Amino acid sequence: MSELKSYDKAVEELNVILEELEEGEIGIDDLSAKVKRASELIAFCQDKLKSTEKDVKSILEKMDKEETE
Amino acid sequence: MSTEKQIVNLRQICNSVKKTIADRYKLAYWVRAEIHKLNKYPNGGAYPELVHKEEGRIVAQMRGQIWNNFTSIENKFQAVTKEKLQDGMEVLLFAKIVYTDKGGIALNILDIDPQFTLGALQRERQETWTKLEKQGLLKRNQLLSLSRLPKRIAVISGASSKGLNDFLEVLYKSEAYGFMTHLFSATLQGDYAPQSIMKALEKIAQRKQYFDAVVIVRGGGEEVGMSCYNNYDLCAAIAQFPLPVLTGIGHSTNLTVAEMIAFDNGITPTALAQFFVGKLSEEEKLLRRLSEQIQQEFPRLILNERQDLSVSASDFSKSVKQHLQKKNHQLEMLNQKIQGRALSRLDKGGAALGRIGQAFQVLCRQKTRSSQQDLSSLGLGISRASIQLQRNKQLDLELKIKSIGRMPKQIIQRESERLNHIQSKTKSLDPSNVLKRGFSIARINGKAVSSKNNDKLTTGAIIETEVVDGVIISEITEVKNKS
Repeated sequence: MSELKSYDKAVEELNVILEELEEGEIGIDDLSAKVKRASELIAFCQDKLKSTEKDVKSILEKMDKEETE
Repeated sequence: MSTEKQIVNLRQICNSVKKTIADRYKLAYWVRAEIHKLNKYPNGGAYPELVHKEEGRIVAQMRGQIWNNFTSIENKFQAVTKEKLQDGMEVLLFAKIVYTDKGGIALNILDIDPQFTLGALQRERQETWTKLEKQGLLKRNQLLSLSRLPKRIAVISGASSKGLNDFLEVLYKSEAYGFMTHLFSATLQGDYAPQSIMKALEKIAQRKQYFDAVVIVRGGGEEVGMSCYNNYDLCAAIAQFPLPVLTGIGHSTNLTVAEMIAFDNGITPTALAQFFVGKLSEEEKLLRRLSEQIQQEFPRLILNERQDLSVSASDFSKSVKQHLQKKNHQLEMLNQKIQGRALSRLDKGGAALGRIGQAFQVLCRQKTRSSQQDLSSLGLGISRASIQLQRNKQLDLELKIKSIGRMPKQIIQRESERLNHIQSKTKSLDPSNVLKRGFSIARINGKAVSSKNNDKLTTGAIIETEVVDGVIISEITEVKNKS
């Protein structure tokens, strides 16, 4: 399993899997792996969509503070 | 000669100057000047410092005064220009030169022509646009790509502005998409706005890796002081900013240059916030759709994803069924194609009777053979599919496959009958059958003679006449027209 990094890449991969499923290009042996991968990707994307960027906020606040000091 | 000094008091001097000026400047003049500093007074008047600049340097300066009619002048001005009278503004004044005892020479301003300033503002707008166009900057920001999840937003706004509140309210009350905003305070209208906004942009540029987009929001209903968004420096800074810059600065009748060259213009802060929420809800819908589609493809597999994912035969039956239906459809299509071709062959055969008969039969036979091949290879493909299924021990499916496997044979039989029919039809048109009826073919040098106008038909030439059971050789004695 390759690592999940960008939302764009994940959506792209999901589209490829869906296409393969629709075209019937996936063999029986690969099916379970593909479906597992798809659910991982969806979970990852949903997390990206809903998560808050608290880390970034605190970095920015720290930068502001340093600047005014 | 008297050496006694003639002394006058200051009041007398003032009166003298006052009289001289009053005598000399009886009329009011239209005066073009820049308001260096407006000096508005709480009592309703203003004492603007007026200057004339050449190449950026002040070369003339005079005090102005507007008495109690300041409010009406300003209202009229604002209605036309959508701007307040402010420092740095070029104005056309209708004024009388006066001398006041306490303040010296001043321009007593009777009126201000708003059209003049409006013209100047529109010129600035046009000039900024043309300059950006020349530098190829008009679309620069719009060509950037916005992240698919633009959640980290740098906000340029007044710290206590209503526009900012509107913007944040929409973002944060929306379904929890986890937006992250960070405020960079700036002055958002009037003369100081461009500089202030550019400073904020600079600060954001230093932190650009933490943001997906920049928004400039301003609101609260006031529609004056927008001309700062036509400032060239500000517009150029927005155009060249490394992140998409989006504006939501109010509903002016005339879009400012900044709004036109920005990545997107939401008009109001609320609408701009909705743009961002919309982007994320689009993505959410996309994800939901992808997820549903994948589930539709293999529902059982998704449901059991956390358990054993090995494929059971019953899960597979649906897709096999689809596969078989697809093959069945292909056979139907092939069937129609064969029928179509055979019919068109028949038409052609009718048109070129004498020549084609024999060849046609051959073609028909070939056609039958090749369609048999096509069909049997399809059949073979399906048999292979059935072998795969047998592995899965699906007896009912096997039966289905067998029934569909019979399809090619039925079709071949049907086609053979059809082609036999065509053959028997075309046989009656075969030349050999024509000869049986008493017709014959005359040939000279092996070529059929169809007309007397043939230069080989000379007296003494040999003619071969084919009848049904042999050839008659004869010599030409005469060629004549039909009697």
